[in-house]
Amino acid sequence: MSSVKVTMRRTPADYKTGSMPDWCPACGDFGILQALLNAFAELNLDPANTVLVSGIGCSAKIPHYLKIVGVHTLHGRAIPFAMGIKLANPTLEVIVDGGDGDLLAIGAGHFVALGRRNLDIAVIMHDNAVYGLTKGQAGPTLPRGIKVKAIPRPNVHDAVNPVLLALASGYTFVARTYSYDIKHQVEVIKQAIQHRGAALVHILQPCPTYNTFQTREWYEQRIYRIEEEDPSWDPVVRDPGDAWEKYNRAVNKALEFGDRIPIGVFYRNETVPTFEERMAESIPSMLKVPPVMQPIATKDGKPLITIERYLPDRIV
Amino acid sequence: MPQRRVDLYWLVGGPQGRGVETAAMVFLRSVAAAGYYAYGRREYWSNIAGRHSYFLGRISDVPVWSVKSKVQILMSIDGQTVIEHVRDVAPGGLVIYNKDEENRQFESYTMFSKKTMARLTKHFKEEGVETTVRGAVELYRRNGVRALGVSYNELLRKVGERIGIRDLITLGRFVSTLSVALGLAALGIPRDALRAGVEFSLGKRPNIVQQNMEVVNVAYETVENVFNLGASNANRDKAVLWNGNEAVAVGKIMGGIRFVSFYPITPAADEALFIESRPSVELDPSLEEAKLVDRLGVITIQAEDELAAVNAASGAAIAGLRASTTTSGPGFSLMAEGISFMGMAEVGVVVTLWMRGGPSTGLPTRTSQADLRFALHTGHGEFPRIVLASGDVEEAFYDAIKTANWAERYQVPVIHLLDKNLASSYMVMPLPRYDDIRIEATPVEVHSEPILVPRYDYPLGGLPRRIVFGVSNAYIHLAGNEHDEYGDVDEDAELARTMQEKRLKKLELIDREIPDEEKVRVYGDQGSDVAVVSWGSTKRAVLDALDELGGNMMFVQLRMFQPFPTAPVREALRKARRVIFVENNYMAQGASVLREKTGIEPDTVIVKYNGRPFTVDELVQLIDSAMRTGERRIVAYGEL
Repeated sequence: MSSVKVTMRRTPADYKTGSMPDWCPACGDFGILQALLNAFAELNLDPANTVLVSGIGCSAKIPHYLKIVGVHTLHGRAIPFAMGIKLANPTLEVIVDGGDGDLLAIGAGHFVALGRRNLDIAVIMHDNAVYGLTKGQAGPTLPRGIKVKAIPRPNVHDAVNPVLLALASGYTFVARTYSYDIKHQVEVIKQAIQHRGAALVHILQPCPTYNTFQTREWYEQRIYRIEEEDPSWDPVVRDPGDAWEKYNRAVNKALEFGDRIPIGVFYRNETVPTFEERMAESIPSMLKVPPVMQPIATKDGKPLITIERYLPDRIV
Repeated sequence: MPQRRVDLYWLVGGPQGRGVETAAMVFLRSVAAAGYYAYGRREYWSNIAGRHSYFLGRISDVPVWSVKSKVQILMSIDGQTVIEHVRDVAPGGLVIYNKDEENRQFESYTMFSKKTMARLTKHFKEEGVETTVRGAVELYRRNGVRALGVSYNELLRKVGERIGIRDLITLGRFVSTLSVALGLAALGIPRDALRAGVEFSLGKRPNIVQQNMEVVNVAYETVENVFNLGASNANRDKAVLWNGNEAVAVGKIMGGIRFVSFYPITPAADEALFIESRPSVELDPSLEEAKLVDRLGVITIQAEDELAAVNAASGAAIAGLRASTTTSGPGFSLMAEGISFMGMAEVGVVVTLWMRGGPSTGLPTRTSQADLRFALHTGHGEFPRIVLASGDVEEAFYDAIKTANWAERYQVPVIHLLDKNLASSYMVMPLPRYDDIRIEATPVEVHSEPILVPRYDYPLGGLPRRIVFGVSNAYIHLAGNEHDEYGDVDEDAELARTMQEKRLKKLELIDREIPDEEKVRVYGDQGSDVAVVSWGSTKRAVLDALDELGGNMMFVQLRMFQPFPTAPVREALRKARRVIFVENNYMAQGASVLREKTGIEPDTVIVKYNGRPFTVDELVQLIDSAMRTGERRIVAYGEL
């Protein structure tokens, strides 16, 4: 391996590419981009070993603005791509970045499956409750009965609760933050990246162009920090015996979404084995040497196994 | 080549879930232990228990890969088998049945297909026999087939006395062994050979083996040696007993595939499950490579759906691992968008497509070759891909290795086209020639410090750089959008044109680099008057049919459909005065591709689309008919 240890600390600017974002002015995505840059710098992530996988939509453009490995995939499918990447090399830092439509409508099955697997991936969810890039249709987190700018009649679907769904699916780190609060985002995103297991960062994000209901003012009247209101709030499971109680408290807190919206870490549990660890029980080599670094053949291009070795019971 | 002294066709049937597969495995492993080559194709319903299921096969001193529609020996677990196959035993053959079921009416078999029952009822009535197992036995005898009825209950009780089990229901678990042991006794297979069959199929636990060997003893005491096969005197080399799913699984592992994703589907899932059941194998410690990791591991993932399966494989390939996903028609439909992404982002994944009867859920457990056009066109937009169809289990094994090489080198989706006929046909196959195998690893770019690399800056006619995440020390961008050389989104008109040209130009490179013999193979004399053209799993039946027909005929096997080998195929068919195309679908899709790519119009298409593969005798008859009548289109009806 030729990765060179960089001793110099990187700054947020070191992770910026020359490409200029083409989001609308005042888009919440700018705040999320800045928070990612800051978080990467504070964690001093190696750009060649950090992979950001996105789906489709305004949020999905983000890898092009970042000097890390960026994989801009298909609508709803960022999580499966990320899973393949992470399992091929479990030493990589893998982050998924997607919108509420991407992750909770077209990609909802994968969102649930990631929780069930507890694969060590952080999901950054940009939630603006609308489909921006296709001009303002209702997203899966838009409340029923609300008419935003571009939809012809009030929304006929109920909203899904991302935090509750993540908890129900088995995510072992679940947090919510707000796109105009860079500092809070950076703290939460850093924790999510460092968390060992599936992590959700649910980011509330105004869409100044299409979400005429959940505006900056609307959010800022409602948002509060959980630990400020309840200084005893401790979402971290340190002992598997505490998991049930902390999980229940997290679920109850997650139900709160209306006149008041809690932000912060709802739940964190590193006592659950990750998917990589579960897989390694039957494939011990994958955590010793990342699969991408393992030989696939002998030097002269011959297979590493024979049928006699692999299937002795089938030789007749 | 040893002389073909023995060439015999067999069938064993019974209700699904009552040990048909166990019985067939006991049979196959036993005849293999007696030194024979053997083949057995599994036919079954989409059903867990109760529907009529059977294995149809062949035994010989030489490798065998095909079947005929008349067998010499029929072994039955239940009476429905005796009824369903009343026309499938050749005169002079033998049917062994359970006398206890002689009086049973058709209707008493509650999972009998209504349509099959109605057709058989009509047949039995026309023949003037009662619609019972006894009626079937009468028909066998009229056809010159020996029908040997024995009371299974009586034999099981006899077994029970020897092993200390009285309860007939408990003894019922031995029916599958009993049914084939009776047949093997009648064939004259040495009794010792059955121990290998029992151990293979039921495990080596001493009391299980001992109990089943008592079943064997009782069978051998009951039935006389009719066929007198004895052990093979061909002295064959060591061979492997496996089916197509398993051969492809092993080919993938040998070919360096280390990631296989799937969503449960017939007939593909067994391939992935086979790998999952052997996830890690110890390397030969003397290998240099064993110093880094002592065990070879393959990640298999049961995904939440085929969308996840295809894109997870894509992710693993993007990271630099050889990756594959395996599926059948319905799952492949869901993979379309992911395959299109591979084309655009230039990702090499082996997509293994085990065709089954469609459209929609169709005939989920039956074979078909109706997805050729779909494999060629899956996914929106225009992008390069490789589509390769294997002709038999041996080819499927080697092709699994080659497709893995190609996916990595060309960074395109490689669709490996197979079918249910190959998936669940077992055979005793000569061991592969390891000297013929080459794993061609594509060089990886490695940088001394983290650097942004333009993965797509290759010249027209070239290939993208190979970057491995965590190894290359490079950070790259990939996108399903049109992109610049760095993989960043751009819609500039000139860029859009040149990038599209670069991607599609790869097809020409692939066509140039892959040898013609991988794309099309000619059997028999090139220059023959008559050419039978086909593709996929029809190969062995066609070859055996031509062997029987004799005369001035050749077989042209199309293997690669994209890029299509236009010039070699034209050359192969240049002197043919008559072209007959054989395939397992309604629309003659392969023939239409031949016409599209070469301008050659087959004189006759022989098609079959009832979910069953061609049998040799059926092809002999239909090719002969095509020769005599010059009919444009012949439909095959064979039901086995």
